[in-house]
Amino acid sequence: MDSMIPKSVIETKGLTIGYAKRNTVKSLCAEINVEAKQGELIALIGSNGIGKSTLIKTLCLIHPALGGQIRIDSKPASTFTRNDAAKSISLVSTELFRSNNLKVGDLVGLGRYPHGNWFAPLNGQDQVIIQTALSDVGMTEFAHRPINELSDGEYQRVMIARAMAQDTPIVFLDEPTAFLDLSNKFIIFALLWRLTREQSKTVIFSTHDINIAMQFADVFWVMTQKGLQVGAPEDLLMDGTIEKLFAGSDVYFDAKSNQFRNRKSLNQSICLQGDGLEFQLTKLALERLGFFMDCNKPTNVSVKITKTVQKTCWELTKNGITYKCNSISELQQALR
Amino acid sequence: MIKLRPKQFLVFMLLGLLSVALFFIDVAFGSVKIPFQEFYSTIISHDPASVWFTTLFEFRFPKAWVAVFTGAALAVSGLQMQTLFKNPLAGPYILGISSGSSLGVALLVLGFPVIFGMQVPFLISQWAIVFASWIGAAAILLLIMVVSIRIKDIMTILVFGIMFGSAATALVSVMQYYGSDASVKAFVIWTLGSLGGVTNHQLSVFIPSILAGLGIALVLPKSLNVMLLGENYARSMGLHVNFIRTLIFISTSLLAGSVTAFCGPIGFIGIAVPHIARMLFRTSDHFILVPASILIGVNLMILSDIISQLPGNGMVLPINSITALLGIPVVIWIIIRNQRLTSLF
Repeated sequence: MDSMIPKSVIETKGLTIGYAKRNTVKSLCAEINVEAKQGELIALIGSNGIGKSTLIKTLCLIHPALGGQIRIDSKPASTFTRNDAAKSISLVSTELFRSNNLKVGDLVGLGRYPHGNWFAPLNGQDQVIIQTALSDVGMTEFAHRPINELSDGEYQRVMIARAMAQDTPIVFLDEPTAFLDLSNKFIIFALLWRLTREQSKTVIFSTHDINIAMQFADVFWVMTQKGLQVGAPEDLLMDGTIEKLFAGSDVYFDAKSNQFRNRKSLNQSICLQGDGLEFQLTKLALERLGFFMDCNKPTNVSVKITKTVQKTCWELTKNGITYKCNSISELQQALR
Repeated sequence: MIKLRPKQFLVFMLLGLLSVALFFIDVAFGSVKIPFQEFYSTIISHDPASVWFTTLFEFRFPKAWVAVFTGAALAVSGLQMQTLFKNPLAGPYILGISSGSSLGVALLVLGFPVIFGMQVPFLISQWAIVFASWIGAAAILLLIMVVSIRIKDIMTILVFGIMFGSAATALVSVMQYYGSDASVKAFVIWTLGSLGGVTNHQLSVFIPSILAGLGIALVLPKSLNVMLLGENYARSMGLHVNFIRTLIFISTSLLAGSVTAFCGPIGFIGIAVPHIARMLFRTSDHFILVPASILIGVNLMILSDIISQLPGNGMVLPINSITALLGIPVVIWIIIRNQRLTSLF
């Protein structure tokens, strides 16, 4: 069994992060004790300004820790030279670089920096690695395009390819899906998931797209001022950790539908009868209008969905009068 | 191995040939007319007894070599500034680095007599002036570096550069007011410096200083490429950001400082040339941009020198005006053509 347990690639003990300026020390959160294993896809979540970026930079060893220990591959990080660190950990940061002249292939090639001489140009083996990295992210045919011609999603994939070319067991990404449209968010997360499975890389990314991350990440690191809560996304949902992230706001995370919802007062009960997809969608629309579903309580509003082969009909009974609606849109108007 | 596309190779060859051609045109057509037959025979025979020997070997060749090294130095320092500050409008002149050099020299030439009660001894003066110029350039660079850590906005940094430059120039004026007649005269002579003001003797200081600066620049391309992505990326790829910055810093101070020490402040070569290089070679790879900037800088500087001696009859136009007239249209064209300045790299 022992050999089946994935090895720990990054581990912290009593780590404190933040900024030290002259005599003042600004610590961002309580001591962090956490461990990431080989092949895990980890999502770092937490509200804005809580210090996710600082944590990522600290774990990438490009920002000094205030205290505590970081171990990379069971060795203390303090024994790593900058070059050692760059061979173990790569970063996809939020910095945007746009250029009319830089080609995709050359940008990916920058990832080879720690592997060669610090002044020598790239060699043939580097070129092979660049090609592999581009094919890993499905961007092979873009190699000779200038990066300014890329869409946001393509740009992010190229930056991931650059991290692949750096060839490190650990990859950090700072909000890789911010500014991306929904389908690109899925593409990026699916790509990261594939890299953890196919190449056994440990991938740690920060994100606000909790609902999408939930479908891909093995582990959530939930960051609050009290420190880091770690667990499977579902466990953290069950124990209310994720719920607490949004305490005090109008937003809550609905575990059942894996979606963010607006915390609205559902002040009117309604009895909805029907089944299938139509039932689910009608329920969504009714909740948006401020109703909660309850057929046990006596109520003066009820909706019955009747389906025939040709069409679906919503029968709304309100104060004893029955309206026939042919779409949810009509039902909405009748209810207002 | 650096891979050149056939077109890039061709442009390199053309630039190389052009610079050789321009060099000889520059030497052949000075402000005083030399009949071609005699020009040719003097160069071939290298005969000190020839009528034109002094003109050619004491004045024209040194001046042409100064143009070559000045062009290379300003172009490379401009390229390094642009990448270091991630600012496509950076250059040694616009950031006030040249003015810093002037301040350094003023402090030496005008301040030395006050402190030691004597003029700067001539023997040490050449090296001393270059040294003062480097220190002045480095001081302004350091100031801009400190500001740029806090302020990331391209335009704000440029405004600061202009402010620092103006402040340095103002300080120089104040010092001139209080300086002794003899030292003010020495300083004014220095400020009038042009490409032609550099003697063979001074070349032995000028050329090694520029070569040292260019030497550093030639080992930096790989790091400069990585620096383009930004500081976090650079660090995460194992780049020693502070070490590389220091090297760029030393190289730029040597290059811009030496040029200013001998030729006075020369503007717009440093800012314009890297953009011409990027446009001609369609690349942001510093392995290509550094040599390309050197070649283009050399060509542009020799061309400026040729234009400056066009009036003939022993008249020479100020070189700074020529480079400004050649460089400013390039800069304006760049700004107008690109709405997003940050994409220029």
